[in-house]
Amino acid sequence: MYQARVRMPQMGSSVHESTVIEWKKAVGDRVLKGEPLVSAESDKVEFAIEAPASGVLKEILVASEKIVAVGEVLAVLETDEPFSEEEITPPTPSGPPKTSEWTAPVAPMKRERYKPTSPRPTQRPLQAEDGGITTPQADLNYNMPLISRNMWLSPRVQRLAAEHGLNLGAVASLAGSGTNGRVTAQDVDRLIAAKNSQESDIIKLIFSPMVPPEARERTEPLSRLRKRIAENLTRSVQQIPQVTTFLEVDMSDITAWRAAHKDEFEHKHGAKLTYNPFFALAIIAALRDPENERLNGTFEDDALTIKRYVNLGLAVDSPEGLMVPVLRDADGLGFADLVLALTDIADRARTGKLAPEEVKEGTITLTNFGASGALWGNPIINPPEAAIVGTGAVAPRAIALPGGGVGVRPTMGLSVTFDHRANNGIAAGRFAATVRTALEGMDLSQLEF
Amino acid sequence: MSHLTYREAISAAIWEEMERDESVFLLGEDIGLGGGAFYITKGFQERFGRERVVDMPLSEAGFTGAAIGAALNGMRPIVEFQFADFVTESFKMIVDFAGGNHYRQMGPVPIVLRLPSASLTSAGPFHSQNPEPWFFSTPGLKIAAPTTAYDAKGMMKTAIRDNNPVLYLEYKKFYSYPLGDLPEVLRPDIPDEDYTVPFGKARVLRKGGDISLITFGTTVLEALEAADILDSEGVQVEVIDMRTIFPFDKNAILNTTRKTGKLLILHEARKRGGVAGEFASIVAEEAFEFLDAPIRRVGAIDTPVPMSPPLEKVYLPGTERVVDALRELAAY
Repeated sequence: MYQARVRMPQMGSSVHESTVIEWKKAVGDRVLKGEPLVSAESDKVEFAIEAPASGVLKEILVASEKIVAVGEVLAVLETDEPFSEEEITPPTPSGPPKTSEWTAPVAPMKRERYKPTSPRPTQRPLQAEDGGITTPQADLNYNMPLISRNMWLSPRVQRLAAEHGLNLGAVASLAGSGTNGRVTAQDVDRLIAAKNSQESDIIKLIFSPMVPPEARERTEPLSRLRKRIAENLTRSVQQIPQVTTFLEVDMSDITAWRAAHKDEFEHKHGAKLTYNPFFALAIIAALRDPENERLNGTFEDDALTIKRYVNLGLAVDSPEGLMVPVLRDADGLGFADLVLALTDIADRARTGKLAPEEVKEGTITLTNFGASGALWGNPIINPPEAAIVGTGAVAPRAIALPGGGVGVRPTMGLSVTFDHRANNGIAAGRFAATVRTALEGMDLSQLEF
Repeated sequence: MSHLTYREAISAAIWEEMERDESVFLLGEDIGLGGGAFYITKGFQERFGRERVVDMPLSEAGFTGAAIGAALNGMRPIVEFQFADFVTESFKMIVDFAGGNHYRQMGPVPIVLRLPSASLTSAGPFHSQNPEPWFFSTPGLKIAAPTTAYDAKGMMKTAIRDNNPVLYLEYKKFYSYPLGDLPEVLRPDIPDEDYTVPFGKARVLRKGGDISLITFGTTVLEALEAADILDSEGVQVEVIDMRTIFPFDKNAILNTTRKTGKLLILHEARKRGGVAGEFASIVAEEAFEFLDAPIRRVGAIDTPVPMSPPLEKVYLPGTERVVDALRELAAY
């Protein structure tokens, strides 16, 4: 065994000291001659200091961020062969130094082939199989530097992009599935498939009758269930003087929180985390305020019965028609229980497995028509309740930001329809605004599951 | 339909051609009573006589030259080399007189040179080589490399009927390979009636859309085995047997590369100077914009063929190296 000392090189005649930035190797690591050991920075350039010989890094004498005089020993290598310091090759600066300041450092300047400086964490180099003649040095030079892989587009990727009119910048910015994030042809295929499926949304115009003459009309009598739903809806609009108020809600925080937690939630509880639980939380939070209590209750026989508990109705589109199952005492549920209970009643409403008492005695109803893509809706009250809350699609839109200016935020149209006999517009407006505040300012850190 | 071994298929093809065409005759060392180094012509001399099954002295250059002369005079000689390695003795005869004659003197040289090729466990440096890189750049020569009994029979007939000199590489490894141990795709049924297999048509041994693996000769075995392993990892490898090394099926190479964008070329011969280099160059020239990864080659390493079994294992491009290369291509 022999020893080789690694010294801080001189990077220009006026440079007397340089800063050690980062050690690329740890004590005990095996290093090859020419491999970057440590990065350093003078006031002129940032540069890598390479191992002067192959061996094992035995000792690191200078920590990162330390300023070191030129010539000072930085590390000691235990090498396989005797090593004389005359062989030291000066490092290649990563930025071009001013030529007037560049003088030959410790040893005469020697041009070296470019070597990749990034480590290869996961993949072995694509090297020749014939171990007989390849040297480790040759292996290092075999590939293009992996550091640029994710920006490098293969010929196939470029051809695919050109054929399908894709912007190369957009292709390069894909999260690639190849080694070191390289964008593979399969990634581009997926992008093209996504684009094609969007194109299939285009509706073709056809200039001929829709159906053959015998199929021009058909009559569908209402089922018993749908008849009851129809009667209820008719009673709502015929008997209730109802008014809707609209507000725009900035959903940035909830959208981000949901995106960050929905996979974990589903993994843990086996249920999808939709927006509905957040709406329910906001409605309940708003109704806790006694100033909004008149929105939660029933209006019958010229009397408003105010309820100080929340039986939340949830409008569900089932194959049988509109169903409004009721989640009882929703105000007493924790977050995860609330999500699971809402999922449960919605699932059972869709599959026709609700008990009759589960569609009764709601105190307020939530209808999320945004799932269909609608931005705004004008819901009608589920009699005899006093109000219904409607939520539109959460989608990025340009809105005026609180601090001035315009920004693109995920926003949502919120509508509250109220029975004008039970409430006036001011009260309903205050309730709607409280729901909005509860959505925009929800303390999401309290949500545990 | 019959199930012949590779060895039986070659014998049957030669027998049938000798029955069909009196100008077909055999030259080689110990091919008469001895039946040849691998018994391909066992019993032939009894049936066809010493005039058509002619034992030769240990002089490959001499009897290759004699065969060329006979071919120039209207015969269709088949020359047996005991091992492909010995063909170097006849190098000038083959390259200059057989390969170049049609160009120089307008006279076709319809000879078949039978070259028992490639590795058979621990046969050493003089009995294990793959001769195609030595001849691949010579115009006027055809190089057949059958891997199945079906191809061996059909391509031997094509070779005999061809008016050009044909180097017929027969793989010792397949002579007696137990039929039951071969992957099904390598033991197609052999029709009883006369058939030929045209030169220059590759065969897809296995379909796949993720990586193309082009090979020929003994390494079809490693190719299929590796493709199975990759399949279990969710990567579909298309395996193509080139069958003839020259003329080779350029479109097969280009089409599969255009489909998958990733290409591995595998042969038992050494990687340096091997035919894979030519195939890779053609892809680089004509299908560059379809590549989604660097073209990879796997071949033997750069030494003579070792005698020692463990060393020979390191020398040969085994399944492990093929799997490694395929995995790297898949991940690239």
